Amino acid sequence: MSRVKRGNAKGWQGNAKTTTPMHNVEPILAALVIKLVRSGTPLDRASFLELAISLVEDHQQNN
Amino acid sequence: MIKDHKVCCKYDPDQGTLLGVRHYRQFLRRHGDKIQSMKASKKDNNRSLWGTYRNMEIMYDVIYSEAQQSGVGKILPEPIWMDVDGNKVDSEELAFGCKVAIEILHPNYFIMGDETGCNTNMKTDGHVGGKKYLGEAGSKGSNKRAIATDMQFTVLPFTNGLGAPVLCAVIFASDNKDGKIKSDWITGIDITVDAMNSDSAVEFVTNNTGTGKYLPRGPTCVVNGINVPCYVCCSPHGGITGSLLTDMLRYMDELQLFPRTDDLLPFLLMDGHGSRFELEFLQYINNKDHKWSVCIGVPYGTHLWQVGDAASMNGAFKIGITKAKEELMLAKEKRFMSAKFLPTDIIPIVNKAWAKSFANVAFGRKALVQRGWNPLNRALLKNKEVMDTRVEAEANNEDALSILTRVAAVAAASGNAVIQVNEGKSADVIDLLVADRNRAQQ
Repeated sequence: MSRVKRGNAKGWQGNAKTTTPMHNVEPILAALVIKLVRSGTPLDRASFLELAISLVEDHQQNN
Repeated sequence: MIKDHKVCCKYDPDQGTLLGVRHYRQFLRRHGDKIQSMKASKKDNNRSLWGTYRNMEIMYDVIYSEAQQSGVGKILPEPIWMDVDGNKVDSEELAFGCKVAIEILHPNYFIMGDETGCNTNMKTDGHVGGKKYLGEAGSKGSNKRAIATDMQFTVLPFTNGLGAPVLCAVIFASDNKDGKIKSDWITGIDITVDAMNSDSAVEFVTNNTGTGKYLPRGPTCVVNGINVPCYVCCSPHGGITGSLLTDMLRYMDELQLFPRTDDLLPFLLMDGHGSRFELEFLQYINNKDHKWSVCIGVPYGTHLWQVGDAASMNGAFKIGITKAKEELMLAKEKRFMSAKFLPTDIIPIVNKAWAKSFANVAFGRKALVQRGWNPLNRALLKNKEVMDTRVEAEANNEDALSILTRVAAVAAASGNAVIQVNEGKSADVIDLLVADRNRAQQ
């Protein structure tokens, strides 16, 4: 069954009901990123992903 | 949950990293109103440590109090809102900065000084606002001639609370132990002006000295109807010393720019350079015959509070120096003169740059308002860079640390943790933020 038939033509972007599994963590992650910018240590892409993974990694293993 | 989602999407959950570039891009899209990817601009570590809300608040408290005690300011019966022009307004929306509790009665006694180091070497000059030149296609950049004569000199402008210049001091680099410098260094020689021929040396100097003439002399300021000629001196490295600073204050006192009364002293605001703490200077400002009230602003925070560091003042001055050097180089080439700078070229260069920067009262006035020095509106406490360091305000908002604390409490109660911050990068980040918060609270 195609995404068009499922009513989800835009894929991930289009489905309002589809949420990222990170949605609980992202507000914390965003606040941390802003806090780090203000303290003069902004994150690059690799460090951001390292932090994001580090925040959820242990929890993933427990589950 | 992320692994489940990967299985749903037909990915191997055990291959690759848990989160990848796609999550990074989508995170940026979802939080684009708060977070964007951009280039980082490097900032001196000390500036971050010292330019905090708390330090600025303390600086305003102390300096405003001193200004009031020296008689320059007067406590208002009730704090009022003031706009950028110093007029009383009714609401915060119309006002600039915070409420004004002390009014400046004698802005001409409120003096600010800030030295700016210069060099005649054109190779280290900036690009004058990113100015571009035409060049050959395929080459790295178009070559531009530059005179590389190294001569350090410092210009120390004193401005008052009205934004007007009070004194221009120029310090040459010279090893001369008696501190004397040649008279043609003091007057400068403007090679673009033809000298008037005279019969005697005295007549030559008299006829050719003055603004726009062959021997132009440095910038002259006018304070309360008194002409204040440029103060020219020298030091071994061309920088300020306690002795020179004392001489500058003495020079202003000898011209009687600030007549003292029982309840009025001149008030000087400077940065924390070592010369301000030398014994000779401290003895001079505390001598009851010519007492000065001197305050030092937040160290490493001069980019925020110092009037002379404003883009319209120091920035414009540096651009003016660069342009003046280029013009002088072209003038030398036209006259088939040696392509090097001489000490006599410094004063004409300073004159050109001064006219476009520190001599502009409107620029000075704007810089004063934006830094909270006239009116005394504590403007920096509303500056975004300073406000970002405010600890009290963040405690009330969704601060990262408070969120983490709350999440940890919920997790402890339910036994179901959403995140972990005990090890790895997240633990490092928390340590970093806690250290940063502690530093700001000190």
